[in-house]
Amino acid sequence: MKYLIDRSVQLCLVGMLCLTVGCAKKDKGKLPTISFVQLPKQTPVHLEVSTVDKFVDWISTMPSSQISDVKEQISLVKSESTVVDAVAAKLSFRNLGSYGRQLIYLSILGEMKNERALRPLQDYLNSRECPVFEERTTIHPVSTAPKMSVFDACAGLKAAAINMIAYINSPAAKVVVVKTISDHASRSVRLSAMNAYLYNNGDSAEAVATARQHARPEEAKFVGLPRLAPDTDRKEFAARLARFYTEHPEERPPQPKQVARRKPEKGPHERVSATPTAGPSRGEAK
Amino acid sequence: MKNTKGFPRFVLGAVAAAMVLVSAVILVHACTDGATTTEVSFTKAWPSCDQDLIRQLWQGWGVTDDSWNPAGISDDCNEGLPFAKVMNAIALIGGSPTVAGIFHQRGDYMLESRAVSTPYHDDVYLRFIQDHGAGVEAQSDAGDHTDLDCPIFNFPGVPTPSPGNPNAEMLAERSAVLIHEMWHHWQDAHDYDSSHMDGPQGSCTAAAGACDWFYPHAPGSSLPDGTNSDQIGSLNKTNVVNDIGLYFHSPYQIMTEFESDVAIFGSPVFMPFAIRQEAQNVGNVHLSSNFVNGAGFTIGNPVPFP
Repeated sequence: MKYLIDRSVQLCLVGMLCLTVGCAKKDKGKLPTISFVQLPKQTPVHLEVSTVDKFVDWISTMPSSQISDVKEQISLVKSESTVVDAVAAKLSFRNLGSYGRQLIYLSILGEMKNERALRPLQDYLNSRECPVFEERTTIHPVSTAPKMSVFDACAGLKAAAINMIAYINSPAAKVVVVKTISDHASRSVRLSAMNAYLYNNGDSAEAVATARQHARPEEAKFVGLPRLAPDTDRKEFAARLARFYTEHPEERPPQPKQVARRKPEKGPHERVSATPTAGPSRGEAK
Repeated sequence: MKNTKGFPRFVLGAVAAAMVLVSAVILVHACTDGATTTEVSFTKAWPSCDQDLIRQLWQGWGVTDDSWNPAGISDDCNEGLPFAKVMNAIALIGGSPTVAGIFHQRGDYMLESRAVSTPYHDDVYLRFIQDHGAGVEAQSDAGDHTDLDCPIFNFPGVPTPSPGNPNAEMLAERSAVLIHEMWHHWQDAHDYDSSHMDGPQGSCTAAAGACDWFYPHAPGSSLPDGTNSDQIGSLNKTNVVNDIGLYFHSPYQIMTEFESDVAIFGSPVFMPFAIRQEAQNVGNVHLSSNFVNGAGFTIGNPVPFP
């Protein structure tokens, strides 16, 4: 009798195990279907000194279809110095809020096209608080054969700042942009300055000549790189991309290196799996 | 007895309690917890707390290791914790565009970024790790797994006394990091050298182990076999000589192509604008800082609200 009970328990356990494995196998190899719903269109927030955070909350959560509403709100206050100052006061490397929020503060200042924003944008661009790759010596991987991802966040925010200075496009702003093309420590920022200078001067031959004149000798060839934007003519883009590598064969990559196949190495530790569960207060569909 | 040997008892008790508290915080909070408004906004665009869907993503993308225990696997739709942030990043890949004229199709990015049962590479898994060194987002140097580090999860909502390199917790970057790292496994599976080159060198401004070659191709470019690069399956083709050189991808290249597709063709209705703006910005930074040879284009127009 005891044997029968033991066998029954064993069979039940094996059955449950098979069911578990079966369920797990069912999902393997099949791409999940993720259904998306439209983000709600939000009521535009009026931009004023006391609503800067609320305005940025709106922009950071709205769909792109509301960009025209944002521009309209900014146009209503573009000449108000107090609003420029309030937004500029949020530019910070010590108190980011988030990387995305810093991009939005920069965008608001650019969209205002108010000369008053030039100084804080320039301070941000040249801040020593956030060193770009070229100014840092401390990023060292632990591994000797790394395959790692790194991102120059300081250069990203400073590149956005020079884009906005170029967008203001006043004589004083242009001076800052051409100086940045030659002098900024970051290659990313220098190339952004070239691109933005051309864009805001109609990609004219004169603008190309000015940018080339100020570019570092080894970087002059990167003046006038094609932009891939929603309105870009795809054939023209492909032709310009091809032309860049034809005119500068030294920029073509070499053949990729083949190596002998090796089996994936197992990690040094025995793996233990973990299963996701909703937290105590969660589990309901949002 | 109250104050026998130097320290009063209540001080010792307080120290012990503080140590217990600190240990608990370390156990629970692997990185700096919290979510940006953009991160939270995107969780509302897809069923981010649907347990069936989360299990499919958990299994398919190999987020199965117990290293995720302190990183939110038991609170799997808490967008302030790393595990749910990985789910959100996978969902963004699943919401990437499908129109003609992009670099690559959503289905290709999904299959490539998948950890298991994919034609792109051997089965691997994602491991959570706090730190590989300042600014390192992720690393894949042990063959069967990829490590994801705190810089792609840390919430930067609190002031810091020493800014250094801000974290890269942006959703578009996190998704692109998954795509980048899985491409290393593609390289391994196809017998290509999967290590990055050391920098700085040439146009690459990054330090050791973070430089690649850029193999240019235009979006939707024609391949000699009669297909286009924006068709399903084209990401898995390689070494096809087109009119501007090799059709091939390096890890940093594939992440910039994804970022470009999201920035330019990301959904205007279910994708927050901020994700597309971040994708354009980070994509351009990678183009200008992680390639030894010059990348021959820029993403988007340099305007405030592209």
